[in-house]
Amino acid sequence: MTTEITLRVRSLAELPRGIEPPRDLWPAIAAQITGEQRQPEAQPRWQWALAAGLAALMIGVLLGRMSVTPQAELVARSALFDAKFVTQRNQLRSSVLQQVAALPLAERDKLLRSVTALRRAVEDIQSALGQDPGNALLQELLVNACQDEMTNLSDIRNSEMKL
Amino acid sequence: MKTSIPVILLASWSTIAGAATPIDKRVAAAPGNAVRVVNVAGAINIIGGTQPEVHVTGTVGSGVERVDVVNDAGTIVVRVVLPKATLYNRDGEATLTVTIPAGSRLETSTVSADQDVQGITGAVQLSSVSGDFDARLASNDVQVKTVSGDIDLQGSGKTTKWRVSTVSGDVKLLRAAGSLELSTVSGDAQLEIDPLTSFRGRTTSGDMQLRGRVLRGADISYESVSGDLGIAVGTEAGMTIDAATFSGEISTCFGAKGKPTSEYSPGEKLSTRRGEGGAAVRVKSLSGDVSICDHP
Repeated sequence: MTTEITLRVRSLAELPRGIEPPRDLWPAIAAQITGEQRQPEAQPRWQWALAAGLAALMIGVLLGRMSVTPQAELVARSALFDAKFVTQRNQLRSSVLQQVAALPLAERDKLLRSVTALRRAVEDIQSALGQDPGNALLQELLVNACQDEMTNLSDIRNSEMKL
Repeated sequence: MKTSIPVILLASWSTIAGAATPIDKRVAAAPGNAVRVVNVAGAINIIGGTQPEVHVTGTVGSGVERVDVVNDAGTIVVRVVLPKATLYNRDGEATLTVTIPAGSRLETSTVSADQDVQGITGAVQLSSVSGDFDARLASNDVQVKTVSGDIDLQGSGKTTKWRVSTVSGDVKLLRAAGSLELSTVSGDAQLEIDPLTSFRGRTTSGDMQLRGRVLRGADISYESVSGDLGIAVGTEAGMTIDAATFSGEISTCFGAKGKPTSEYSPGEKLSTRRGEGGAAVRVKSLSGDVSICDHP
């Protein structure tokens, strides 16, 4: 006979402060970071922040797929507000917007639409996650949208748009 | 004879701006050589030829320092060189026609220069920041990358591995066969691939239309945030479909419809099989609409 236990949470204080991931991801992440530190010029800093943020988010996705629990939602949400990642993303956005502002009007409009689309995509998915925090489809889309935003912003920044 | 000041000024400006300077250079090349063409502004027109040489003709503006055409350790490099700093904004455009052995591996890089490429059968890698592409290719490996340029590609019906990436440019790929990896942010895509072995499409807000015919074992996957997807492909052995959206609609031409994922959210999900289910179609979207048809 199986007994199902349902816990109702009345306040945030009742939630655990830490959550154990299904497996210890840190050794692999640490090894990767150590490896990357040997070649600092090859990897921009934002990729580390993105990797850390996405690793946390992936834990949320995995937990979310196993069961929809308040803890999984908290993990997924916490990744969205990783301060280092948000700071670097905002810096990258600002840098790209300055670069785009110097372009001829038609090209500037085209690129601004894309930059706006990237930002809105992340915001729209975050908003949808607010309505349905345990939705695995949204969590996956969010991970990919964050990656796409950083990759595309970096591509624009690294392009030689001088003429 | 009396000469007016405007005429003197005009003559001086003509000297500064200069008329376009003609270019005509040749370098011997074997069919297996790689060819790299680098130009900042203007246009490059690359043609696959039959002669064992790289032949560069065209004109360059007064702001161009020189055009190098050299064999660099087996790679023929055609490079438009601009001075590092100029006191005034001179004409740095170069309009070049580059004829290369058709079987060469080709690599291009431009900033705003448009690219027209015809008749190349070797592997092709084209990149530009804002230049447009117009290419008719018979290669088996094509990679095109741009930030804001539009991409217009045409295959030869030969099986090719296509990889296309753009931020805001639109993509048109016709008469293609083989596999395609395509990513855009806001650019739309119109695709005709027959036969199609594999398609991976990813967009943020661009719309994609895919037509053609899919083989048994083909794999089609598509992901968007708000971009719509229309698939209308004939099949060799039917298809299995797994599509899910958070708020978009899913429809088919054969009567199957997306079903709500829950009574509390607007999302839809469709899992169905047509015929033998020989090809796999997987679609994920936040708010994009998805339309699937098993004939063109």
